[in-house]
Amino acid sequence: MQVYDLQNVDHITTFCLGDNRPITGYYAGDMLSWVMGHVKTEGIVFITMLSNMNVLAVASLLDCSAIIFREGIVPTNEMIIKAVSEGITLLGSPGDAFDIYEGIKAYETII
Amino acid sequence: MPMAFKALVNTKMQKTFNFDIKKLNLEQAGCVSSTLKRELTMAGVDKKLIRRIAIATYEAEINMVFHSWGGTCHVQVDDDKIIIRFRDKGPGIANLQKAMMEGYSTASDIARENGFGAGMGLPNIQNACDELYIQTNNDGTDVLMKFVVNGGNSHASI
Repeated sequence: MQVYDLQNVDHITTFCLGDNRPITGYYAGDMLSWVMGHVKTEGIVFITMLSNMNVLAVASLLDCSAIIFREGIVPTNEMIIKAVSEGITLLGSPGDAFDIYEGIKAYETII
Repeated sequence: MPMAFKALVNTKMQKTFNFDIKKLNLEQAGCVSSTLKRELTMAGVDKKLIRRIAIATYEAEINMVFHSWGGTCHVQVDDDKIIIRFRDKGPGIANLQKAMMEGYSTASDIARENGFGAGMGLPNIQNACDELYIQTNNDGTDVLMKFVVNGGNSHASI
């Protein structure tokens, strides 16, 4: 599954597109230091409800492939500009982390 | 200054970077880690090492932004090692032993609102670098990190 495939998942909206990379895994969290200490691979999709520049800084230094803002959270324009420059895709969903992952798994069975 | 500390500081440098870090300036936090990530990537340094350096420096920047009254970061890049030193003005770390424990946090509300305060800052730094020296008192905190380039004998778990 590639990052751009996420756009076809139910209830997912796209804020901006970065590099279309292979997805290596998913990680949901809202405590940035915890996320930094536990995400071990690059190319992860980071699912969070935080919306500030620190989220992008962490996603960038961990080489995340995309961020999905859950439960209706939206990024600021400043975040979108930064994400484009870093090649990170920003997406959103009204659902929680479990809804999002279920949607992704359902889509994976189709493709 | 302990001898080990002194020996690390007095190494022959190849490339240096200096940064000013201001209190509660969240916009600027991440400047050290993103600059180093960019520069070290261009220099062809191992990606895993860059990642560890980015994590450790980002945590240190965040600590300085939220907990100190501001300070500086000095980076020396050598062929075989990278030395990074964060020095800030007050108030120091009240209980360093506790601060090194995962989950112990003295983060303010503003830090928590921004997604920090997990009590993982210093533990992440310790797990990311090869050697860590911290000196702290009421006047400020001096954090010195050493990263071994090209494998080395790394015990880093991040």
